[in-house]
Amino acid sequence: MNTLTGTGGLIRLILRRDRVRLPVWYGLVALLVIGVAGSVAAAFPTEEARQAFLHTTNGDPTQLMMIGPIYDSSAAGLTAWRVRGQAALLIALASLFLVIRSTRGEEEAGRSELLGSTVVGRHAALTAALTVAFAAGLVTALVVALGLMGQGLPAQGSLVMGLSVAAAGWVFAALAGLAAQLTESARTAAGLAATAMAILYAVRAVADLEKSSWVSWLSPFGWTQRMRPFAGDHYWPLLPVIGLTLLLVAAAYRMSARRDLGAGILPARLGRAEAAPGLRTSLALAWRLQRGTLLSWAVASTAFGAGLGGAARSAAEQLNASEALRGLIERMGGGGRPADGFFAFVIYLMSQVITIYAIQAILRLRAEETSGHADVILTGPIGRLRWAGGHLAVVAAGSAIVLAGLGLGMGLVYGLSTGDAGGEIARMLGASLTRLPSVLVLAAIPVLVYGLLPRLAAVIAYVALGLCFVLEFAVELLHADPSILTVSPFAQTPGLPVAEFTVTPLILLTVVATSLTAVGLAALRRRDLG
Amino acid sequence: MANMISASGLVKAFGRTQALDGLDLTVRAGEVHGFLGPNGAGKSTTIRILLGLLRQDSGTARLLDGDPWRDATALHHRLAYVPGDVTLWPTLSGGEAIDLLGRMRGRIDPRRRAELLDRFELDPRKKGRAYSKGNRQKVALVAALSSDADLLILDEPTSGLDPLMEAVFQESIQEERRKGRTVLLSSHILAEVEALCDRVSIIRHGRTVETGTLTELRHLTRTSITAELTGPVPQLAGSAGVHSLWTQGNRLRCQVDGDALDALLRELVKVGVRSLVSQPPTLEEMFLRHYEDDLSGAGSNGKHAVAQR
Repeated sequence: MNTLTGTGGLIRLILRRDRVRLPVWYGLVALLVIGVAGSVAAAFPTEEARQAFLHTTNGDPTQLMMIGPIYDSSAAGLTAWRVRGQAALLIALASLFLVIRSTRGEEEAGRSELLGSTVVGRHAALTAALTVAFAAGLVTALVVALGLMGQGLPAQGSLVMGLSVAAAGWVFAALAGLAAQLTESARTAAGLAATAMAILYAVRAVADLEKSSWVSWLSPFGWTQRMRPFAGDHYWPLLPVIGLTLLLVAAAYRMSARRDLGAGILPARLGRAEAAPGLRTSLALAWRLQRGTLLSWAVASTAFGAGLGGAARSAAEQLNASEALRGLIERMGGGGRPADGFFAFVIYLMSQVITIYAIQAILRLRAEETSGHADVILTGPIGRLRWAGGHLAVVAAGSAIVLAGLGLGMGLVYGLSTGDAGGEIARMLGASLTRLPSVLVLAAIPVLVYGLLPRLAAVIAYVALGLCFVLEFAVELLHADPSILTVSPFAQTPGLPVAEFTVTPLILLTVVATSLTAVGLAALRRRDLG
Repeated sequence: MANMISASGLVKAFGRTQALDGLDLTVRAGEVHGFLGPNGAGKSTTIRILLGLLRQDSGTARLLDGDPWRDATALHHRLAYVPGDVTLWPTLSGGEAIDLLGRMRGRIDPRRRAELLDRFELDPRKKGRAYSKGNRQKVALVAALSSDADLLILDEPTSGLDPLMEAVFQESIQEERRKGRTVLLSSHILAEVEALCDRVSIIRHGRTVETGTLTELRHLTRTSITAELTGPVPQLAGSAGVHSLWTQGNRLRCQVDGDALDALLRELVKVGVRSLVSQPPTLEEMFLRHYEDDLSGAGSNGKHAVAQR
């Protein structure tokens, strides 16, 4: 039998299974690039403003580290600079998850075994996953190119921009294909690939910071950067991109041919023969199951906070230089130190991103139920409230920890630059933790739905959060009336460190979160499980 | 407390599917009770109701003198459960899962735990995702058997075990019985049920169709008779309780209901008996007899048509 037999069928299976996820992930990448192109032109209408921005940015180490240098002061050039980093990271993540989900994920769940016994070749799953990922990248490139051309940007540059984004997707799809061969667990494989991605992005950051061209050659992010959309439009960096992609694919095939179905190339590690003394309650189990996710979020949020703390000074100047963006900060409360406006705004935005953690962690309840793990606990002397309460406690504390990480990172780095680390840390911690009640209201929505209509918990929770984002964008980019934001719990908390601290909204939000949770838990006690 | 489990008239529907339709089940203290039925008959639904995971639409269920739904947490101190499809947390080792479950229930006896691990040849250091189905079942079995629960509820606990481990399992259940524990054992392995169970309940389409000791059930069901007589076989066709009659000269084969056996033998003795073989029905035959309708409904089968005459 041909090792590729059945690839076509598997491609259709992936497209069917991911018919929502694929357009959302890749569409988000295209939308990000196209949307930013529109807003950059509005934010920097004159050549002088753009020139000034280019100079500050190229002299600002935090910006060089996080995104890289600006190559051209045209509106198109600024767009290319503004989104290159995020779009490349986002499409790399999308491709990475897609490939691992459709290869190792399926294998771990045992579904590949079912399929493998039918007429499906050994390499079919890998080939199908890579084909979908490569095609999705190409489609994204074309959509980006057309979207940018539609806004009147040069055609050549638009295409190079699209391809440079897609190139990151291709490399990391292939890398994920390789990682999927290494371990038995999809989670570990995704972790390996994401770590490699983070390291390669960091290599690019160091290269731009040190202005060292040989270091930048070590990272595919450095290659795609050299395509310089709207500032030279090079196609040749695609050669190393395609070369590395083919090399990784070849290595993945080689390993896939050598290993057993279900097995990994890296040996599975053994665990403890006996549980640690602390693992004796459902709360301890919830912590054990959730701590990995929490740790990654806490580290990421602290690192991000540190980056923002470093960028605060120049960012505050930019924000104040821009008419459109200053409006945002005034909405937060205005006045005070310029950096405070910046902090208030990013804490407001980041608290919404951190809510993804809280929702994800709450949905663990549902995953535990559908996988049958909850049965094992609930048929012991553990009531449903105690079981769910353990997870809720971890999520509430976890959300506080992730928010505190953000504040800590910001306060520490910004404080070191002003010479008052202690004071800044306290202020930023206070500002970020003030957002906790808003996060908890959004986290209480999936608790409520999980109790009443468990199937819909994930959808409704993410739709609710999505609405908060959409409202924010509507106000920011479409200049809708800011008063529509009053329905968003995130707009209810005072915008520290600029605004005055008021305790009433925090109490109200906490009451709302508690009530939603209470109704959800009461419903959980009454319904059938499993 | 004479009955550890008593359920009567349990009804449960999932949407338009009627899972249970008036099911009765009584499990007495100290017995090993077999719970039989084909796939989809409602065994797992019944067990999930008894465990307080589902609530019945109507009917009553009592477990250890409590209400399985309302008093779930308190009752679970005294029972241990092994699901048919054991899923373990992928990142926890088998040993950690056993300890966690044991500690939540109360105290765990390290000697008993070590002995069971040894007996079932289970490596407790492997992570949940690395175990095969049989090994996941062993983890759940070790956790349940090392507890000091009064009642064990086992839902097809040996479907993934090899014959050697099946023997170890049977030995362990015999031990539990000697300690006076009560076991509800749902199983498809009829040899296992015959070896272990004091009483059995057979269910079908969500209803109990037969319940009692194996001896009682045998009495209620048909015995196969093969006989050679000294003279021609008398006219038996149409006699009450005689089924699947086959005759040839002096020889006959038939199945006879338990309460008609005496009458049949009298008839045969009148003619004179040269040889007689009487076989009580195996559990498998009893089991299959209850599902003949389903089988013959699926395809027209002459043999069954005769049997049901």
